[in-house]
Amino acid sequence: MSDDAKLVGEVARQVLGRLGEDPWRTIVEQEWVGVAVDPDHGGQGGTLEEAAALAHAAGATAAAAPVLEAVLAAIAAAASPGACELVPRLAGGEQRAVLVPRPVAHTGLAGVAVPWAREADVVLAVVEDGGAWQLASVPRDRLDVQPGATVAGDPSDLVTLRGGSLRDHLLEGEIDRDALLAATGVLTAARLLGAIEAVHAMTVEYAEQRKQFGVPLASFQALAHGIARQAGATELARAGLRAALPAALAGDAALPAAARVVAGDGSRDVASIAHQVHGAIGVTREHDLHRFTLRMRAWRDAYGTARRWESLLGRVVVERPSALWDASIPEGVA
Amino acid sequence: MTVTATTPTSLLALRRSVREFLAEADFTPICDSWMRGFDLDFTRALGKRGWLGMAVPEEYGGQGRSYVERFVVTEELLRAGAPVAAHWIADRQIAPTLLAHASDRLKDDLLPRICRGEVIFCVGISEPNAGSDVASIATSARRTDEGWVVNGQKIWNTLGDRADYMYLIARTDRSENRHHGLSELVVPMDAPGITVRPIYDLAGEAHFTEVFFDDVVLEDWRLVGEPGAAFKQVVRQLDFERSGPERLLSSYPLFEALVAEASELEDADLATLGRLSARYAALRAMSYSVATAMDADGPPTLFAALTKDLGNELEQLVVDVAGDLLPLTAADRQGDAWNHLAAATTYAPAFTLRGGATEILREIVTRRLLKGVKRS
Repeated sequence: MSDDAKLVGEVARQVLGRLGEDPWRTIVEQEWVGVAVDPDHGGQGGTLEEAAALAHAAGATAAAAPVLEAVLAAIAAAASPGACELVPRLAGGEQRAVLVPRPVAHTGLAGVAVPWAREADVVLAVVEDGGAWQLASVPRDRLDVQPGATVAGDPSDLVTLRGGSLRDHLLEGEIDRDALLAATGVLTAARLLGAIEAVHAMTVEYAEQRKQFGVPLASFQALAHGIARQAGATELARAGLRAALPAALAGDAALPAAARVVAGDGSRDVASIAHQVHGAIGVTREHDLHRFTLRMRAWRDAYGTARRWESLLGRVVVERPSALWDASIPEGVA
Repeated sequence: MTVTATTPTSLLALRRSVREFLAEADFTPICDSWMRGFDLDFTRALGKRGWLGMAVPEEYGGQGRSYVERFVVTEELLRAGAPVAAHWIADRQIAPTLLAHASDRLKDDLLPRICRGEVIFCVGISEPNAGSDVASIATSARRTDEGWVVNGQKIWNTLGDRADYMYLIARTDRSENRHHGLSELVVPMDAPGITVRPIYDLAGEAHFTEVFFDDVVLEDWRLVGEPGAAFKQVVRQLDFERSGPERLLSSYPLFEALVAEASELEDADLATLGRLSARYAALRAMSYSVATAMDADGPPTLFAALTKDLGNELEQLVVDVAGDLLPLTAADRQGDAWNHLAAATTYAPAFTLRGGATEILREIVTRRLLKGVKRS
């Protein structure tokens, strides 16, 4: 990871650790929204790696804040040739946008759960038409938004277009499907990884400190080996993201999808082992663990369910068996 | 340690040259080819191209290149299921062990021949009563005026019946703590007093053996490193043994054959292939990191153990998944995928045992990761 990205992540963890009433405002003030958007398009001119560092920080702090949501909406907007006026407004905070988490048909925006939609002035949707992807930008006053929540209690609201079709809101030009998938895969994998690492560290610490039968939990082989499996899942998710970043920058979606899949798998294993090691205290409201583990469950299916990412990657590999080898491992990983 | 500068471009060029060589080479791809694909001509052809002893310094007949370059070459060979077993043990773990610990005489005698693919090595560590528990080794080497006199029995020696040399651990001093008093020796397999018996595995193949020593005499200079230092020295060799991409790619030819049959599969089954693909991608990146660490500081014990554990799990999972999916997509039970499946099904149980069983790997991890784990 570059020094710039590391710094972005460190600052973000501090900021997200003490969020105020209006997290979106903080996200705008920190100049995070356009972090991965070219300055020519009104962004802050960072890289996808810095955006991933932000998503990672959101995971590492189990932040109840639309960090990934705001950043991803700006990336989607910047990918659409017809949204050049919108991007600077998003980056500057004059408008707030979220992205519908999966591609929809023209008539498909009906009762779709969209993270943080209640705070958005604009809802962006990828409209799929005969394989081509185009962005629709729908103003809030054309939408019906019913409050909803993820299993972790974060906003995930049911959005329905009030009459008409998404055709009425299409922005000009197609968006690059692989590039948007790659960015989505990297950011969602990075957020999961942040939470995975945090929960693994909590579990190690607890197993070393908590004593039963006069000895630390870590001295029981069955528990220790569970923690070894956690360590493996954590490293696998890290490696997946390491390989995915250069691939995503090159517009390849296979390795970002792989990163997302291993992070999703890993999040489930790491969370269940964490709860087993923590015992009863880990299922209490007062303990921090659930803030992470419930979000990990929700994030595993955010912006494409785990199953959807798996079948997407499976299809890529069946169509192009060398996909796992053509991309930039290891040549671009160093 | 000398490290050749490697750039993404030079690595990619190296990878392409291996692919070109493999496209022209004459062999039948198999799973587990680093254990079961024995072809001395193929091995020597690799030696001629400079793809053996890649990380061995040039003064000993090697290439003086990096472990990352060696990783690129070995990955391509394994991916193709090429017959690399004849040199695998010597190239992977004996060469670095000799470099680290052996006398000039041993190095001069063996390393150039290893780099040309001329000598086959087997490993003599396990015994009937010393499996994962290396400190229980009972085979003895007694120092006499004639040299070392070896008595005892070794087992699970891959290529024991074809090897020119065995890398042996024997007890040279019984008076000390059981972790001490063990020494490493290089044994010519044609020495009088050695009896080799093949052991057939559940695949019906005899790729490993048991070896009996009856007053086998070895010259003094065949000792590797310090007497009594085997336990310390071998830990590093075991790191080399478990740090390569073969620990995740043993069933890769089956995976590729399965994918070639998968175009008719339903979404849920494609998702299963996607999960395997994702693991291959992430594990390749982990394995690459192991190679970069080897160039910097030698094999990374904890990280390599994690990589092997996850890799072995994937190797077995691929066989299970292929067993579930192939009947759906290639019901005629003919062709490469079915042949690979039949073979790999019999190979798979050993994936999580050889070179450090899963449970041993997790002990290695937890003892380094967790304070409060008792260390024996």
